[in-house]
Amino acid sequence: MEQNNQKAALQVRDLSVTFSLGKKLFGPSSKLHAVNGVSLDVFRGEFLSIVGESGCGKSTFAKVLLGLQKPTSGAIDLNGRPLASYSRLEIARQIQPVFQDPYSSLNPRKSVAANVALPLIVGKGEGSADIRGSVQKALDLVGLSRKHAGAYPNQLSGGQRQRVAIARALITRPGILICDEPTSALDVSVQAQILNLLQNLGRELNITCIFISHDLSVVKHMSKRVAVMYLGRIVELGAAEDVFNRPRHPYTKMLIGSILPADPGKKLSIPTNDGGFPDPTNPPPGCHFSPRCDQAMEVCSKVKPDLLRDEAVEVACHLYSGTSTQRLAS
Amino acid sequence: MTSSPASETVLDVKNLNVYIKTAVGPLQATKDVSFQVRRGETLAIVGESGCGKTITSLALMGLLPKAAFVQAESCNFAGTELQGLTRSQLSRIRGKSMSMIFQDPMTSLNPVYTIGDQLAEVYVKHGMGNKRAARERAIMLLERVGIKNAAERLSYYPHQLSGGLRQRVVIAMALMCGPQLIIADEPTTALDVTVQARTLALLGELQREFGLALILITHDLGIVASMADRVAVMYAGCVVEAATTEELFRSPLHPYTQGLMRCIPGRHKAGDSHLHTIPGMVPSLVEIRPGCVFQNRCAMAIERCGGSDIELRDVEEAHSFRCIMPQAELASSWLHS
Repeated sequence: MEQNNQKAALQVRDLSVTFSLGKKLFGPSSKLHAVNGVSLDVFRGEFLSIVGESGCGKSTFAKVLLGLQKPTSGAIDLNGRPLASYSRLEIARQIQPVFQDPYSSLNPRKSVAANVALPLIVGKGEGSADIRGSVQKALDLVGLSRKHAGAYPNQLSGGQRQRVAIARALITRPGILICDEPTSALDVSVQAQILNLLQNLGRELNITCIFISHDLSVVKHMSKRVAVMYLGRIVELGAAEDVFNRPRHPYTKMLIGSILPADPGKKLSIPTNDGGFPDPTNPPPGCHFSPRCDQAMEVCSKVKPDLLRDEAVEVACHLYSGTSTQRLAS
Repeated sequence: MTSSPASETVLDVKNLNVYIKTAVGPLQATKDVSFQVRRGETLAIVGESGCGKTITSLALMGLLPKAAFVQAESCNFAGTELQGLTRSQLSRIRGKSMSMIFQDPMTSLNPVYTIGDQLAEVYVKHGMGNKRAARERAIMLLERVGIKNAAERLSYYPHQLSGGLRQRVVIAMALMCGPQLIIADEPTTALDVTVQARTLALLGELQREFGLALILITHDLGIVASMADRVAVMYAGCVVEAATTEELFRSPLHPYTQGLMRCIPGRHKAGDSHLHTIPGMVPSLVEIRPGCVFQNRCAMAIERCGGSDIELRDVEEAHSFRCIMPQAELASSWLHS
């Protein structure tokens, strides 16, 4: 792949996050493996999407990258240095989040300018000498005018609030932006404005963008590379073109089959043999997807498939672990 | 339910106006909304937040907040005029022959009652039968909506079920009294994509099986395309375009409908990585100017758009739109986009 010779901004190796759910009175304590052995390289300046349904661990993964959640095991390198060796403020200067709901992610009692300035005031990063100017610059970047600076979040529409949230993320001039479902609370016409903005910013400022979403049509449009997650594991990883045009993992196929095309000629395709999302505290053995998979073999419910290269993409499925694939040296 | 011809109109709404009382006088939330739904037909009402699609459905169900009031030429439901009904008369219809599926199954079920109790309550309250009959019907419907071990699940509380299963319970509940009309307000927005596809497929199946009229309120044009027979597009309280689904997707006429369709990722031309956007935002009810409701965001707007209110024009049978531009000009703007 072309990215191989690029430098990785983030290197994630065998990352796991396990939550202990406490002990029942007479039962055993149960554990929830929110993220389970994820390895991933995020290259500088790329637009990487992480797709999956609720409960697949995508938001927990984002929290770990932001330093808001301690991993149970595994290693993360930010620009070649372990993430754990950075202080909380240093991480915040380099990695900034944009959350899903701009109605709850902005402080309602502070003006737009104060909301945007906060990371700079706290972090004392680059540009904190001229806070006013930096705020203005950030607001310009996201297409908000001077008159919005004095407004309060409740005076703004959802789209404008999300612009404020993006401005706040940009003010520390981070190298990496983590957008967790940034448009799912917005209307279609406004969603398009925000997606265009993110794309432009990524290009102009050369920001690495990790885009977390469950909306496949948005992901297909936005990203160069896609990671599909299921129950804490990456099941397929590759260039968006390859993943969408020729999905390999049965779960990816199911997800893509669930996209409702805006075309009345095409009929709804319904996933068959579907027992629904399994209990994450007691996941099925072997491949987590095997009970829902119509191509499941005997080995699937016994052995966990590794993420292996199959032509252009990497896929964790026993259907593709035959002779044509070679083991990835990780 | 009496047997009736397939083309029977179940709901006929003419010029529905909903007003909300405020300190500065009444605000008009919907303006002259008219539509019909026939037996066995799905009507989708599409629009962005604040367009009045939810308040229209609440008005039909008689569930508007106290501050709102309705004026309409007629709201005829299966031969009964809904306007002027007293609360108790309306509550005899609501939940029985006309039921509703809300967006969020986490909040539309009562967390402190078992789903069996909640399913039976509708049935018994409407005098359809005793508790035992209600229990049997509940088990039958839960099995029909694809819930395994239905008899056992009756004693479950909502929190013991996943979001998809909860929405199935809500669907079963809507069917308990054998309704003629179901209004589903964003029924799958809170669900995951794979669950969404299955829930919609189920809703479609049930509709055919029970001969229901279905009003599907959504903002997702993908859902409209795969589910609806006819579509009404709403913007700022007005129906700006109405047509059969095929006709609407083939040749949308109103600039707002066209804009909405261009916004969908994946619909743009290859090589153009930018999504089309509609500039500006939906006007709040306070800011609505005379004339066309879409004029301040419309690329084709001319001075005359700000004049008098715009009438709904019929172009073909079952296709109408609310715009002063010539039809040919609108059609060519769609083709050349």
